[in-house]
Amino acid sequence: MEPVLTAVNRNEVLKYLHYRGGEVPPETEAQLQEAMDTVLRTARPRYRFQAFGIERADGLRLAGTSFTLPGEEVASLLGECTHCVLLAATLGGEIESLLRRAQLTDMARAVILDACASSAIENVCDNIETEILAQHPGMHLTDRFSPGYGDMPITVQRAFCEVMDTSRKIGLTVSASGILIPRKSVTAVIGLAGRPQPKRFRGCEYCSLFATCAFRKDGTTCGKS
Amino acid sequence: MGTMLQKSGLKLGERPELLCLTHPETVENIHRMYLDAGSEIIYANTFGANAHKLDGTGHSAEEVVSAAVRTAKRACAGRAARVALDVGPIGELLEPAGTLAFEEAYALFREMLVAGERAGADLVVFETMTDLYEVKAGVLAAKEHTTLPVFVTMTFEPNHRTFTGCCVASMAAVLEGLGVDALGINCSLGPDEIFPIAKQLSECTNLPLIIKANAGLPDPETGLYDISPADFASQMVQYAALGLRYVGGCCGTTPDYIREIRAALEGKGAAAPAIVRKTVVCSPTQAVTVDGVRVIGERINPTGKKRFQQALREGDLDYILSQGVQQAEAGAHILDVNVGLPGVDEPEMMRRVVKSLQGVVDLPLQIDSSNPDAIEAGLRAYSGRAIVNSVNGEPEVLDRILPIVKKYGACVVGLALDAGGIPETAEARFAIAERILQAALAHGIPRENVFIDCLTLTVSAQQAGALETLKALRMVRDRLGLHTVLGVSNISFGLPNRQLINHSFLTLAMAHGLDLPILNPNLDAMMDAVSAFNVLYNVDRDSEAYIARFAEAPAAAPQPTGTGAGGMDIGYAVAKGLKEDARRLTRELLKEHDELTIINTMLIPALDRVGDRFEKGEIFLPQLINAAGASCEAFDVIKDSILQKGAPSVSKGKIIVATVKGDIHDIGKNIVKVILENYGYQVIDLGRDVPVQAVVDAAVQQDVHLVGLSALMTTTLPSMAETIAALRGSGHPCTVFVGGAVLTPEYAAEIGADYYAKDAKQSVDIAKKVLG
Repeated sequence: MEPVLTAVNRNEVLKYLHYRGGEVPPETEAQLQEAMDTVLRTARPRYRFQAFGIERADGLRLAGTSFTLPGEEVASLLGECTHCVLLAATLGGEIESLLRRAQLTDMARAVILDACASSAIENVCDNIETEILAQHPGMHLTDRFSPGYGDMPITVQRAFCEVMDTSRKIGLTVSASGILIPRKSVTAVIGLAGRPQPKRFRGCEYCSLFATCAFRKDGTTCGKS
Repeated sequence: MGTMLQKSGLKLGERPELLCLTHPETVENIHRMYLDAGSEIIYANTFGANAHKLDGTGHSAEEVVSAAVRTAKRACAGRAARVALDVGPIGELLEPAGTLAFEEAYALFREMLVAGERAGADLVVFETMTDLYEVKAGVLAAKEHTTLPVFVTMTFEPNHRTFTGCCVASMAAVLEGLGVDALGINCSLGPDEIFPIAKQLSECTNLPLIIKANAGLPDPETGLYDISPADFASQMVQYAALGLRYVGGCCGTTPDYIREIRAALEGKGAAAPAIVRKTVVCSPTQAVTVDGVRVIGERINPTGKKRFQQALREGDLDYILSQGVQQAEAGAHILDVNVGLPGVDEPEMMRRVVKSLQGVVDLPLQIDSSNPDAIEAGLRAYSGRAIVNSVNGEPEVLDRILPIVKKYGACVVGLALDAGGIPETAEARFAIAERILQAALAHGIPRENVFIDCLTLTVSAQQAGALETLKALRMVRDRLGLHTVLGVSNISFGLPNRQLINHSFLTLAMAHGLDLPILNPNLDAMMDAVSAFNVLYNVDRDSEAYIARFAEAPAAAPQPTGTGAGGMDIGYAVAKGLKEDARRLTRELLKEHDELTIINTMLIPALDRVGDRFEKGEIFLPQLINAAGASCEAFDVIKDSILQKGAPSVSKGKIIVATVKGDIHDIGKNIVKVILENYGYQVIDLGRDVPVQAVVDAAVQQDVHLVGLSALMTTTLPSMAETIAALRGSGHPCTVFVGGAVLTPEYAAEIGADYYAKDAKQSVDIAKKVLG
């Protein structure tokens, strides 16, 4: 199997760290490099995805399951799709303890590691999308849409992980308040469509940080749109 | 069972356990098919029948478990087969990685177990487990509330670890210690892939082994498994040599598989090969075999350490944890944990510290206390096999503490002293050691889990004592065959160049058989002595570790990059995050200025400039934190100087920070803490996932009037609102500021916060306004 974590995107990391241009001092650059290497070395990414038919009787039900996807926005995202893929991915618990340890000994390093890990899980998801496409030749993917985005409540997380049996299959669990543990993890639904899909759900207005985002106030973005 | 239920039309996401209420005949038929195929133990359909997973179904665990066990028993009617209560993972991760408390997990298991026994289950099987801590909660609940035999199987990946990192040796050490009746492996892989893992397990324990492999791997499209019943059975034959006692199948193994296994293994049973018993202490992720010198780090201990005492009184766990992380990085193999201090609730503090330490260090722990309640609290909260430090030759002490050691399967240190004090001669200490060993054996503690501390006396006061200690070490090793523990640093009290005496004594002691020295691993000389010993005693083959240790040593200290008078001032050092320079410059400044002047006219303005540049986007987050780190060094120098003069502290006031109940995203809170501390505020950090009442109690008891709360999730904002309401309700006057990704100034006002802080810099502005 191809490695699923291939890189940490330096620019993405800089954005997470509130970098808004200008010089990256050499000592920070060194910290950055060390953190990217450490995250790539420490992460034990695990993932699974599964395609489901979509039944549109009462809401969006996934065929063969008792699971429905709530919300207008996901319905609109999957408007042209007969099938969708549920995806669950995690960097594993090792990254968790690395981040906890770093917070006790070197806060600046911890912040950089945290940003690198966030970028790493995005990279994992991107690589999984490539794999999904390879399994469904001729199909096109919609954006990833996760519990907690837009009008899909975060409370869906638990049912999502039950259907995907994530705790047993990849060691990904959900806390009582809907937090994925290990934290550097992603669950998402991706539509499979017959023609190219517009990018629309990774814009600022769908982000949970919309109201307070410092980038947006400065007229820029975090780079994920 | 799951395989067969899916075949009979169960949908993904539906709770299979409910079928025992809605379609008991379907489940009973499946049980019968396995019994007909030759199963002698069948698992009731109770895998996920815990209150957590059943939440929202309208059915209680007791109801579902009872129905499922009765269904299985009906299927067994007229046969000799036994019914196992099947217990799977709760489905939520335990603290400290997750938020489910150990005690909650225990209660969830207890409910299932009591109901299962009452309904007539013959034994309990915990299966598909990946978290040893969760298993411990379950096994303790089974032992304390039922008389059922306890079987445990865990699920491993090809790297011989579970998802949570638990290794095979740790599983064996902990479960054997807890007194389970059989253990093994199930799920995840096929028989061929599990075999090497099973082999390793069989070398770690004499307990009966259980193996339940999957029928290979499922095809993602069809869900079918890729090994046929006949192939499965032929792959299972190799297990006969391991002395396998219980065999079965997991995912994908229909009754046909069971029939084939029975046929293939009939008459092939073999006795389990004998194993060499070793001394193993462990955390779930790291098993330390004591077959050479293993260093026990002594720094988690308040004795004679003002800063540590303050951390204990304030419940500042982060400071205590950082002592653990430092020692792990310095090369300790085991960490001693002592939190005894007058005025501190030792059992409760031990429980908290042990729980939290497990989240940041992989090293096994030594629970250091003479308080039986604190010892039990520590052992219960620990997910590995710990060492108890200590008992002594007094019969009352032995009778009180050894049963606790036995119950939790720990190792124990016996001090070679009794009511008569420390005997002068080696022979008399040896006699006590013998008594301790006999008492431990009588309590069922295996010999290899008993260690003796021959005791170090101060050589400047009792010069002949050192020789007696060395002699006793050798006697205990040679005549009793026990490992020895010794705190070495006491030897040098009252002498100049204490380190020389310490590491010389350490080397001599190791040569006389000491293999578990208790020392400060942050001191290079001590760790160097261990390193050299391992070369000289032919332990460190080809001096590999020794060479590596010294190859990494820095060549020379870097030259200072500027001087106080010349190019660099304290402001520059802070802005650039130069920790060493910040210390040095502060020391120089203290020759001419008083502490407050340095803080108020140099450090804080420097930090303010850094903060302003951060706000304007001229520097970014790591630079801000690095600057805070440098000013922290400067503050340490100033604090020391004040302490030496006996002047009042420079704290500008106390602030509580906490990440609210249910939330574990605490990196933002931790950044705020670092920055506030560097402005001279005393920050009381209550950590993450903090119960509402804990915030109120801390504010009232420690008389704090500024509280910062953080939450990252929309789902945890209600606990923030509750915390604020409780603070207001307590009548304790305080100002509350809040922050976190999903918060807005409007929402902050709505839930009754006084301030909204968008980042760490704003927290400082708020603190200045409120506390000055």
